[in-house]
Amino acid sequence: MSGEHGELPVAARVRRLEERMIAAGLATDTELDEILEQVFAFASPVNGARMVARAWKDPAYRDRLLADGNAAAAELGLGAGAQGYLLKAVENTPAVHNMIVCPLCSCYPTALLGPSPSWYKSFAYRSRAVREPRAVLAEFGLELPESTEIRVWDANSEAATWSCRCARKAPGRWTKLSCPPSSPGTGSSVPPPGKQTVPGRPGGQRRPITCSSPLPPHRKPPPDACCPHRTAGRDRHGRGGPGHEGDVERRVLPGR
Amino acid sequence: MTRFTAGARVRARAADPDGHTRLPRYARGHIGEVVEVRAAWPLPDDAVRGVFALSRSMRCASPRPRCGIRGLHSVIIDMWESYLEEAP
Repeated sequence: MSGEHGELPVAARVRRLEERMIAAGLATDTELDEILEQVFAFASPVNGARMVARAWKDPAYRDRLLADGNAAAAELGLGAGAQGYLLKAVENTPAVHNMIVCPLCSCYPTALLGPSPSWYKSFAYRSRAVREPRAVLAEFGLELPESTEIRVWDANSEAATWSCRCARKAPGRWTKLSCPPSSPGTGSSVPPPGKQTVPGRPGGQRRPITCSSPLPPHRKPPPDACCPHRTAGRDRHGRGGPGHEGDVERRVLPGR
Repeated sequence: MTRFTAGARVRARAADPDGHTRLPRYARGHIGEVVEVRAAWPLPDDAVRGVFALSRSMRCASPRPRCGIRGLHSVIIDMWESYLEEAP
């Protein structure tokens, strides 16, 4: 999760909840850490990128992905990552742009996209996305023409919606994939060659990842689609933990 | 047998339940259209109390044109049958 996550109000609430659970004897700190380790050992945007790359390369797989996300994930050996919820993939086109939000609790297909960025869990994003999605996207640097319809998918149930660009724009042979940040409505789509700059992050080049990278081993599938607000590697006071390059929260929430 | 089918015009109940619900406040009282009837799924309002009876869920879309905001957008949300009532 983001490097700034420990200072967010939601992180403070999670820490208080953890303390209550531990005090009540429902869980131990070690058990909570083990669960997170299991989740994050498997969760990676590489998983989602593999599915998108396959959809670009194989039109039949693209159709299967749009028809049944769970089955398409299982085809690539990612069924465990999509277990426990209904995975629906939707495609961005020039006429329709999809945007995903969970106003209630920030549900997210963590196993396929990695931990969600902190802005996805912010009150501002969760409340504004359903009311003024076009303005929110513009703050991310995505200006859509008025002719493009925006569909906001509320992930309020045990279903995870995943927005991606399933049609490749530029022809060419792919040998490496670049991992874009999770931004609303772009999901884990992979930009075409030469367009690897991260919107909203001037000069924000992402570390290239190879398509053939072996997936990290995992002991158990993630329990559900929700990304825990507890940050892996942090202690209960929010110290430590990994950073997150895709964090654009300060850009999205100026003065809010 | 579900009360609603795809294409039905529905309204989300406006009541504020006592306990947990997956019906967001912003959607309450709004009118939309059923776009897909989905499988039966435990109703979260009951499941949180340990009751796991299945309830039919459906996906609804509500166009939300707003004054002063450019372009059209719609919100698609999963609703359990008990969240909905027939819209006039």
